[in-house]
Amino acid sequence: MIESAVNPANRSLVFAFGGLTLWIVAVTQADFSHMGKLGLISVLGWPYFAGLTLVAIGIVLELFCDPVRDSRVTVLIIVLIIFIFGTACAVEPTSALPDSWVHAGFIQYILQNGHILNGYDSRFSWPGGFSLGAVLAAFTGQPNALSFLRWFPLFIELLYLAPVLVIARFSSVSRRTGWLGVVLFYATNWIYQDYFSPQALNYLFFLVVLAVVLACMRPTRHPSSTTAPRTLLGRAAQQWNRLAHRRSSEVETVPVWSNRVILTCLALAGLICLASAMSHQLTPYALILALTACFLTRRLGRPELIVIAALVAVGWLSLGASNYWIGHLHDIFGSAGQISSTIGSNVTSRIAGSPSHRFVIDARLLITAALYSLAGIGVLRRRPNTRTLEALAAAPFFLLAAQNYGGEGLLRVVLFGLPFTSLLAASALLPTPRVALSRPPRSRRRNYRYGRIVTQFVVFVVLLSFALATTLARGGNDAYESFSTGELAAVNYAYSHARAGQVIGMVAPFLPFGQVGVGSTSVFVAAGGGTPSPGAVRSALVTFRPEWIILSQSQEAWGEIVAGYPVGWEFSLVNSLATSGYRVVKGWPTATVLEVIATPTVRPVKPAR
Amino acid sequence: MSATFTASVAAFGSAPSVLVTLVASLIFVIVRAWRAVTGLILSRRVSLLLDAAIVVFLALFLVLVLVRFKTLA
Repeated sequence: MIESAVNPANRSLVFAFGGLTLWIVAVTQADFSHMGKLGLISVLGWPYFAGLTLVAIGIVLELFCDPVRDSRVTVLIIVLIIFIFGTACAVEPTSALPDSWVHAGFIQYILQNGHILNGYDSRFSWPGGFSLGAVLAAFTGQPNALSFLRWFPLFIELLYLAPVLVIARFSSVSRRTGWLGVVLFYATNWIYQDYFSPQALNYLFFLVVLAVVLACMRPTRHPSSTTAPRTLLGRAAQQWNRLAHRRSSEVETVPVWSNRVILTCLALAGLICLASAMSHQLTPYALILALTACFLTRRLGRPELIVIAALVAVGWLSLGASNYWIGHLHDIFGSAGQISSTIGSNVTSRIAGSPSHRFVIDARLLITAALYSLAGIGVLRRRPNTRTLEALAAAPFFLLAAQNYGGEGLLRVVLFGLPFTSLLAASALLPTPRVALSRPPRSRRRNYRYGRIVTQFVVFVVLLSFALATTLARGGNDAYESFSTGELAAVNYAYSHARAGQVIGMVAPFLPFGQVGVGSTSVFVAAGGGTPSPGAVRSALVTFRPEWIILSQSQEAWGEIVAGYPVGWEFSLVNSLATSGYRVVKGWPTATVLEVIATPTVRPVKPAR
Repeated sequence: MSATFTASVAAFGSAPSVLVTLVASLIFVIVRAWRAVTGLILSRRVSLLLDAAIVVFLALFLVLVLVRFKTLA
């Protein structure tokens, strides 16, 4: 057994096992209470980085085997996923990100009442994901969805693996390049949209539909034309003829499977489009753009799936989501065409805060820029039959022209294009259909060996650099976006003591709140969406006078890291509130709950949700 | 007269009218896709009628959605 373990053929598994062991050591040793301004990476010791290095070595060894052993690469990718997406789940005592708790609250409301709460929140107008969560919670005998929250990111990223593998397999890249593309997809996914949310579920829908389409059909080779039109008008007419007749009539696409199988697959894809239309605001349109890109590049033989996806998306928006847009149509279409302001709200306004926060933001921008630069090189180095990958990578950018999505449009653009930019980036490193593993002539063998070593080293450096940068970028906000058990206890205390109609106040929305009290207990966020001064925050709380105020370690970190508040500002705020009609009713090492002594009869401002 | 006309136009944007055009469009598109994948042979006239019906109902659906947005929002 020991001999087989050190067998060169099993080296990669040894690296995987060693990496996983070091990961377990790393998360066991990590102390969440010592998290610094750089977030998750500040509590990770050398075992994490050593383990990640071993995994990267194992991946490179397997990628350059001939032939590539699919099962071993899959094992290594799973270990990589555990490193990048499972570390936060293991280290942090509760689920990170406030929105995941809010979504659990929506599911709780549906579980208790059997219907959504109209007019409460815009997300309730796309209730498909929440209804599914309620069904799963009831099916598993859970009283609520809270038990799904903590490990959901790791779970959903593992689910993404299957469709991403199919996309890589059928994207007209070599098997080796496809595997590297899958690895880069996970190594560069800093975007953190895999928390417990409809977006995470709909991203799975997005990947599955595209995987089905790419697997079902293949483009025919372009016939060489000896009579190409000379004039621009002639060429335009030739392209229109191709699109309107040849492409729409499945002349330039060859189905891979039988008609019955394809019909079933496309019917299922249509049902997934319907589910997506009812559960997320943005993904259906990203799907329509991606399917259009497949149609234009001869990977989708017929346009009907695009029409069906567009019909159900617009149909749900106009019929099912009318509670949201009645009176708020400007929120949906107001930013249409305003690309510069969209980019400003997505990028420029976010580059703010303390040096550590800006360092994390710079890391995110650097990862994205590096990935797109590599993808650009990949576009130039590969010689494919179709440019489907390029079209799919570019298609999400059209979303920006329509919506800034609350300042997160660019994040979604990068997310929806990530599988394809990763494959293009892999093509930059391994562009040829077959890495030259066949033995060259004796006179060139030394150069071949050195070239192979250099390629392996470059792939290793790129992979490890991306993985380390993603660890930093992904967990960079965890100082204020992750929560301790004390903060959760404080929130639960406030909810259990608040009566219907009362308001819970906080400085910034970085608490695990919203999981109960939907429709009965409101939340007031003193900072709103900005970074007012501590004095303005105090004034807002004293003026509005919520019955309960929760102050916490995560809010204090937000104040110091993002808003630029002085160290100890929260302690000063507690003292100030204590002299302004509040008293401390309960305290934990990481949170404090204050209760108002006298409530005003009339509130000057409408509370935020 | 203008109030009656406005009310009539608003009725076009009501949920049932949008839903009917949506369902009709979906049915025609699904029939077209099913015909193409299974290789069912239709006469040229029937094919043209099917395509024309799809175009008409799609256009009607989009117009009714716009009317709905205008009147309710």
